[in-house]
Amino acid sequence: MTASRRGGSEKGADSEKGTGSGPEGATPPPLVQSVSGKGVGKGKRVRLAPSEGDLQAAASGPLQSAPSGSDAPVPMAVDSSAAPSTSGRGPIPLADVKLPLENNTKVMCKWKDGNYYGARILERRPTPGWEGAPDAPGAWEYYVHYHKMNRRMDDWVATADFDLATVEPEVVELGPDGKPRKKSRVEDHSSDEEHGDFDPQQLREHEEFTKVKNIDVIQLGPHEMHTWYFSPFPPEYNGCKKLFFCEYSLHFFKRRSQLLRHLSKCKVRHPPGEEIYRRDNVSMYEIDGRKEKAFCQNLCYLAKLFLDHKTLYYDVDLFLFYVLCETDARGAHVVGYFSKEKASEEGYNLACILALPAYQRKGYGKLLISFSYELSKLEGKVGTPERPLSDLGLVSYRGYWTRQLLPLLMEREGSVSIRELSEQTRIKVDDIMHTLTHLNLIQYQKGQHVICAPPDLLKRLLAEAGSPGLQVDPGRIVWSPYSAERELASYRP
Amino acid sequence: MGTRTSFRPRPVDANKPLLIVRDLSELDTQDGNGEKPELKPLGQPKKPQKEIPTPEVHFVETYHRDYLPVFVANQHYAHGKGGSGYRDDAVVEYDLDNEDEDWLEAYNTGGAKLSDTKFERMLWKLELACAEATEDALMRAGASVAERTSATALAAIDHLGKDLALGVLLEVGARDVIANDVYEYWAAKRRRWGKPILRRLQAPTSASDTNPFNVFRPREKVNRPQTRRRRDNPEECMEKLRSMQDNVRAALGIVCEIIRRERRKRDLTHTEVELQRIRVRQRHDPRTNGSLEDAAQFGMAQLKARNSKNRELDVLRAGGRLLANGVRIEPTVRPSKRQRRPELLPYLRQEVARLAPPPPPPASEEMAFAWPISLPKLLEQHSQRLWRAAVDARESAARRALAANAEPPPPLGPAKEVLAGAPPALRVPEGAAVAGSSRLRLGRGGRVVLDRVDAWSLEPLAAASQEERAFRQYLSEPWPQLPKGGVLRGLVDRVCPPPRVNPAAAAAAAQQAAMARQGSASGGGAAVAAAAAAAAAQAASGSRMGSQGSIGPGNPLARLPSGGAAAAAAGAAQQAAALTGAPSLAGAASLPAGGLQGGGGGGGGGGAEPVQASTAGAARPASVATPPPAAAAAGGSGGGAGDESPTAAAGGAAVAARRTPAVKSEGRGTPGASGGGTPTAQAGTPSQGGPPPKRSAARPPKG
Repeated sequence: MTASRRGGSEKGADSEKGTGSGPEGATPPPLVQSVSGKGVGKGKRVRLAPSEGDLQAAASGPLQSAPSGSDAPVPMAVDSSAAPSTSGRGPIPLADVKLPLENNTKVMCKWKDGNYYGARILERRPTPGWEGAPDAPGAWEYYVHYHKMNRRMDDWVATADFDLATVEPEVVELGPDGKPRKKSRVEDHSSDEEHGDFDPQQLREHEEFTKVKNIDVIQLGPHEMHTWYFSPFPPEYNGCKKLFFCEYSLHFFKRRSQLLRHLSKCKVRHPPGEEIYRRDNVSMYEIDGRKEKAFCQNLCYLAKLFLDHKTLYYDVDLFLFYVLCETDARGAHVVGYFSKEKASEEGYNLACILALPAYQRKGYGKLLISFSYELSKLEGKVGTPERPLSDLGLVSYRGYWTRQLLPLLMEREGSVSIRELSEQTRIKVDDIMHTLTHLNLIQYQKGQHVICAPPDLLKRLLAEAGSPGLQVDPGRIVWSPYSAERELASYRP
Repeated sequence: MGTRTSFRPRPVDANKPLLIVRDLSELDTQDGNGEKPELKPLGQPKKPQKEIPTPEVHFVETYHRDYLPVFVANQHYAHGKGGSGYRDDAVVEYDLDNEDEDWLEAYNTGGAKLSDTKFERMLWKLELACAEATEDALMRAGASVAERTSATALAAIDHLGKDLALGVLLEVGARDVIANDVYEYWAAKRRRWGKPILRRLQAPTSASDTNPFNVFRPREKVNRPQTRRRRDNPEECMEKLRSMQDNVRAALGIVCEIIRRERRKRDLTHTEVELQRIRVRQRHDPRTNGSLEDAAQFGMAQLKARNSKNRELDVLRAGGRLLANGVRIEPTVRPSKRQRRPELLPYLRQEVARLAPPPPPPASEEMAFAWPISLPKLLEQHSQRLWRAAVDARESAARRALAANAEPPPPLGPAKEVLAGAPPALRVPEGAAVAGSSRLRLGRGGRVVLDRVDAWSLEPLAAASQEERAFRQYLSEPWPQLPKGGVLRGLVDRVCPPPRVNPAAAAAAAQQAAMARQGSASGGGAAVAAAAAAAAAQAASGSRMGSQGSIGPGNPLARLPSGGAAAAAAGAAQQAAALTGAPSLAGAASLPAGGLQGGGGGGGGGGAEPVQASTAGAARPASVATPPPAAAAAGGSGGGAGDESPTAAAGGAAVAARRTPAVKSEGRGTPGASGGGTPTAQAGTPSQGGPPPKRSAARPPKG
């Protein structure tokens, strides 16, 4: 989107990430985190962004940056001089800095790894519980977005974290008509890595509305998790920093005492709905959004905390929720879920998918993806995840597609059509085409296309696609596709 | 090659098979503008892998105390609406929030004592009562659904009067003062919030609301043109729906009638086709013109059977039941409790009912003709007819003579033909008549013609024989084991009470039968045995004429009379055979093994020899199927020795061999089959002689 405006220094580590490049080496691909911006209750976004752009970018990407390999979020090691240079303005002298800092001020800010990164102030507020002088530096705290980091890194910081020598106030540019010109904020996200193929206008609206993360921490079962994104909890929860979720019904509370009181009432120890799969201690529950509205809405509130491009705009009636659980003596603990439209006109077999942070990197994301395809197989329909895909979703899905398709190509002799592959795997034709093209396996030879499948190459690509994660045992799925007629027949208001 | 198309490939066709190339060197590197394909693809450029941070996760120290390990997983998958608790009325849905907790704390320090759970329950009840009152009030006011679920409507609390609210609280068990305070608190909070405090009762976000902080709007299909206005007149709609329902029902009825009409048409067509065939046969087969009526009757019988089968199927399709004895039970009749006992239930299912034998066919002589007409049968028919004519002539002569003496003619029993001697039968080369794809018939000039195709329909005969085979298999399939004991018997008895058996006659018959067996065993007293058998048969038949055929399978009570009936039927030779005219399993094979007088030699191993009963045997489809063409035999002698036979030939008793599940016999007069019969009927068997001297059945006996 904004590639043309980027300086050379920015075209580094992350500029290619938006294309969801294939995973490297034998390291497992990242766990699926967020697939789709069109989640439950998502509006009809008409544009289904084609993926050609990704492919072109993949073909021409520069390769200079090595992966950082650290556990921490890659801070996009931009040296401190690089960030200011992009705006073409220098910092103002320290003496001119007035506290509190205004919104949209750019400043170097210390991140939790101890280094300073370019950041922009999105919001400020009086420090909660501040007793000192109102104009002291500690009286305010600021919500900052680190330059070129994912929004999930945005956080509240104290004035002490800023390097006040680098303050760079927002300059309101006057347009030709004398009014302040609307600044495109997309430039701050010049690496549109995590936004997949959203259009800039919607992206801007989305970011304005979800600018500041409202809940910092949640407690869910045995885990206390830091959240990533804003979630539109009901207004009663405004100003609340920590929420206590009931592990079973997913009701959320502001105080632990309320959670305990609720727990004393809550009799069930597993999600509502039907258990449709169980293997060892892993179970999958199918929950109808219409029948279990409260649970599903709670689940959406929760999921939004970890998914950027999910909206809760529409109700959950039209979706089925497949909740993955680990079961132990304390009941079934929600591990992740995916949602699925009851009747998808576009042939989607998955709308939103999430593995909760505490259970990430354990192969549950892959389990969820392959489960969605197992359901498609049972339905006898070709399925595809709802578009647009986020970057991480694209990577995960490409991994799955690769792991499904390449073994078929290995076994197969002679020739095979894309349609046949689709029939066997229930992966949509376009997705197969996309995968094979992405792996550069389709070649044009003498006026016709061929699939290049040298065994050693396939083996290497398979290894690169990572491990299949937890495997679904299709024989244990007890499930029948959603049937509106059947539901109507058993309907009781 | 060098053209533009070579480097602007067409899009991949998903339906076209693509060649899988295993060896890259096979690729044509000279293609296009000389670009080497290996350079383009395959070595995938390595890209930096995206690092995805995992949000910080900490373990909650108090977890093990907060959540108790009380969960026991079921062996089977959890099922239902969330188990107990999600819909449990006893569970208070409302959870106190900060505001409530703070207020409660302050309230309790003021001296009052109100527990948090009770407070919670009170607020919850207030919410429910308020929502109900609001709903009622709006319903009475005739508000539409949209109005009733609007945010403003749901926010109102004045529909719930204070007295009513206090009543609700008192029900919970609060004291007056506390109830009042709680109500005031609740009312104030409701007014402040402007919406119900129980989230479930809050109004959904309106679809037109664009505030992104409001969530979970009802979803409407935006891209669907709104051609219909909202339905806002439920009364009219209901009327419309009702009339539509009536229309659909009427249409359904009409369609059912149409189906019936079409079935009739089909049957009619079948009838006409049969008729045509018969006509053609008549024309082409003048020699057998004697059997033309038979053929017509045969066709009719077949048609009747088919129609009756159709009717039965109609009953079954409509959900009714068919009992083994042919009684139809309407679908509305529920099996009684006794019948619904598990050991009996399987037999009341439709599949079993379908297998059950159809009602007995009309006892017409012509029904004796079995499916499809084969040469031996025709010949037998023919010879029998001639033989009967001879008998009749003889009798009339005797009558005339008697009339001259002014004496009444001696009454002829039902076994008159048997007594008069069995008809002669043809002997046909084994297997010829049932060679599968061919059919024997008598052509012009007495030639035997072997048909491979049906002369009129030009269908290969394989089809007919297949049908026949299927039918035979149907016949030979064992019956499911029926429940022992009185349950089924009681059922059958109730539906079809057993006919009265004259005990004296039966006893006498049994005694005589025993005597007959003894006699035949000794080898000398064949005549005595025969006489005894005949007497037994008469006695039995006299006692229960007309009860034949209505015998449920496995009904032990009915079995005894069956023997008698069969004996009687043997007397009226074809009549017994008629039992098998329809595809019946309960066919009784009657073996008029008559005319065994003297020459039979009293019969050492007679019972062991499979004896093909001429008439009755041919009449039975089962026996048509695999005719060991049999020493049908016996009858031949009837002609020669006709005059002195009347008493001796009394051995022509009928063996009513019922097919029972245990004995999978064809009822062909083998010992096993006889075993299925009654002692009475068995009496006839031993009296049959060994293989009688083969005679040419082509030479009908002369009277």
